[in-house]
Amino acid sequence: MKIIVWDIVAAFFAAALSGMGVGGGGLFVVYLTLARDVGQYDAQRINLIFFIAASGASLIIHFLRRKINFLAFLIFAVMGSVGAIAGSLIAARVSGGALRYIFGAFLITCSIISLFKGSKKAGAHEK
Amino acid sequence: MLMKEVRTHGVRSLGVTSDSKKQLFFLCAAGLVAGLINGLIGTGGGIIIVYALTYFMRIRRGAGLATEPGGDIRDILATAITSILPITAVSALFYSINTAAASTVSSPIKYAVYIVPAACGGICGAALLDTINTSVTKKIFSALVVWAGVSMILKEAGVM
Repeated sequence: MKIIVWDIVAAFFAAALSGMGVGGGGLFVVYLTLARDVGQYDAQRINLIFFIAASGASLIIHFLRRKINFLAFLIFAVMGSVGAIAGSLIAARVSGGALRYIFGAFLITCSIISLFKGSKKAGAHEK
Repeated sequence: MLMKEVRTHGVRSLGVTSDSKKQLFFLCAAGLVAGLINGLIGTGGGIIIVYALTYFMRIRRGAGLATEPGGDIRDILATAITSILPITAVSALFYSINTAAASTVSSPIKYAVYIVPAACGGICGAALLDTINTSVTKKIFSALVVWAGVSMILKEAGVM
């Protein structure tokens, strides 16, 4: 019961971060692997389904309040889908351990960039 | 057809003032990399798209087209979330097919418990975007993710 409550809390906060667009899916994979001891393959698969629910629901608000660049969306969706198929094929040929190293390294790299560089550029257009 | 769309609408939609093919190539490459990362590690494609879009909006502002739609950081984040949704759906489908043999979860249906809080959290996060300082949130989140990434590597290395 206690675990289910923590699952719900973790999913809610990770989804809120995803809905804001600051990321949260990565954090949810970490929760699943470190706190719930789910294997890397399964954690990533669960996270993908989790993210569809979180971002799909958040789009209700985004479509109402934001200006979506639909041409950019179209390009990213088409090319990204091709890349996603290639990425999943590579994932199937990489061990779970190696995948965890790649995942950890990617998280650290992106976060350090966001901490020291990205926020400066974006900050000029934020509240 | 896509090229025709870019030629006719791309300048207005993307704010590209010259060399549309080069800009289109950059967006396509960014989309491809975002999809590759998302398909490989199950997350992370969104941040690539945010970086790519931020770069484009900077070019647009430099060209004096700041009034064009989609230039605000919140619009960029919303476009990134919209773009990553179909990529994630494709990733989930092919990832499940390609890594089914490595799965240890006997019944994935038990993880349906995450769906409802995920949907509620997603809506709350999107609604809060107008009231919170995304820069501060992003910094706190980034620090948390650095810790998480290091923890994962240490665990895999057997240190934790």
